[in-house]
Amino acid sequence: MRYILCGAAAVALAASGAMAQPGNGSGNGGGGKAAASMNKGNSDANPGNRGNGDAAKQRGSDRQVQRDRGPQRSANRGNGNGNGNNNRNAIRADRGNGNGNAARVNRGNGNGNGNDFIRRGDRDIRSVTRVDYRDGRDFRRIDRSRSYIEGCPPGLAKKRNGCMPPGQAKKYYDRGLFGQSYRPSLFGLSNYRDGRYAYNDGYLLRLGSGGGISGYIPLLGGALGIGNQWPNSYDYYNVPDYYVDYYDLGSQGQYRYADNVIYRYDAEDAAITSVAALLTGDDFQVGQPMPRGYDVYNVPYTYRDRYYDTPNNMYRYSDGYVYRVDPETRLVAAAIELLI
Amino acid sequence: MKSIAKNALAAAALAALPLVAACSEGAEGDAQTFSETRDKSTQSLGGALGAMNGVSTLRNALTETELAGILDGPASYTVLAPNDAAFEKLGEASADLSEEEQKPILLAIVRDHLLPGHLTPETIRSAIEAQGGSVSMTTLGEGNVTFAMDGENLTVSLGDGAQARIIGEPVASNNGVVIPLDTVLVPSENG
Repeated sequence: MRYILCGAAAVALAASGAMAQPGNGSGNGGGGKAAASMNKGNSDANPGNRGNGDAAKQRGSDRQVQRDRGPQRSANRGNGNGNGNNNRNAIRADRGNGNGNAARVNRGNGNGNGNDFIRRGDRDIRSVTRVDYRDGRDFRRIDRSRSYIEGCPPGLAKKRNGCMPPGQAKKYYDRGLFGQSYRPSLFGLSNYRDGRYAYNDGYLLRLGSGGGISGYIPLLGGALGIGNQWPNSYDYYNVPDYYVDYYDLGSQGQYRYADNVIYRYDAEDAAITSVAALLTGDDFQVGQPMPRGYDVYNVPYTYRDRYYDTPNNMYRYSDGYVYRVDPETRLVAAAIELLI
Repeated sequence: MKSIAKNALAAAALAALPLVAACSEGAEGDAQTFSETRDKSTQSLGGALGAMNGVSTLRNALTETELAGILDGPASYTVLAPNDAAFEKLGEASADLSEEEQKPILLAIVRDHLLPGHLTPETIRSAIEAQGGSVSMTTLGEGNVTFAMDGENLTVSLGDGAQARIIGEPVASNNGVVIPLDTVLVPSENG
């Protein structure tokens, strides 16, 4: 284990970069000014702590989303200059704001100075964070409001009183192979209400009060299997650009997100081509308690020599982000993007 | 097209997995306790699983459920990997699970064995010691798993369902960890 933690040989995932450390922002306007500033320092500002920062210094940064392109190589320590332009330096701004401006701006602003981290004033941070971070949550919020698809699933006949009732339909299952009740959560589906369900031919069937089928949910590995066409009426959403980058999803038409799964999608063939990522869907919100189920340190290999637990900070990974958490209060202090 | 090419490559890699495994068959898998995690950071999770002995049933399940591709992706996952004997313990249900019609169920079970990020048994044990008891981790499936110490053994359970022991030699790759188990974590009857 120790040799894993200490294995400094960073994998090729990471470009050398400075610590994406939150801070209290030089150029910080004290909560009202829009001033932004570039951080020309790097993690060596706090070398004794290997860049993990200090909670006291990070107050006021609770809405930040930071970007990290990987662990800093030791050769880079002590400098703050040199690499110059980098298109992925900038934190996105103004996406999806009140003006309907959905364009990504400020990417590649050429102010690198060897750092991948931009520190901004409070207001700017809030603005950036609200847009980027909220966008990141919006697709989940919308997804959570979904319901089963009403009507008969493909393969079941529609009768006068709805779909063909269970029992007359072709083989379907009330209980799983191990006696489990069929329920959305069994399939990792957290966006649907409890109720009575059955399974048939790649679909979870919602049963109405009379026992008839009132609707259905397509299942991963079943109706949502590779090579299948996207089921009609099964809503899908775009994910934030950060996820497009992180999971290497290509352009907007090349993926579809639904129910905590990102699929690669071939628009030409209108078919699912693979599963790109499974997400927990856990809701980490800066300033809020960390969700349950993260008792164990789980930062990805490439970032473990940078983000490791200390008495002041603990770090947890979920769905493409590393979150800095206060060990005492368990409040989420910052979200850190990991660019590859 | 790019993604199709990628998928083709992934499929080719997957097809090679059993061969890789067959080449190194024999050594581990019978160990009743777990040893120190082996660092194979030159490998991806898919490669690590492919080279591990005694987990061919899970490998096949990952291939059948079309989840194997994520093991070579950019995100980091920890795979709780029931060994072949663990699947045999399921009896007939194990064979039934491989039927096409049951694929969503098999996939649901596999998801219960996937955790977000990079966890080693050593960090799990440290967390248990620090917490003074069991610890909980979310899964990519229905809920959380609970890790606990049972004497010298590290155990993991899913809800009020099955409990497994961590055995053999875990492997840490560059995008996740494979942790062998002696039992399949079958979901509980009512969630």
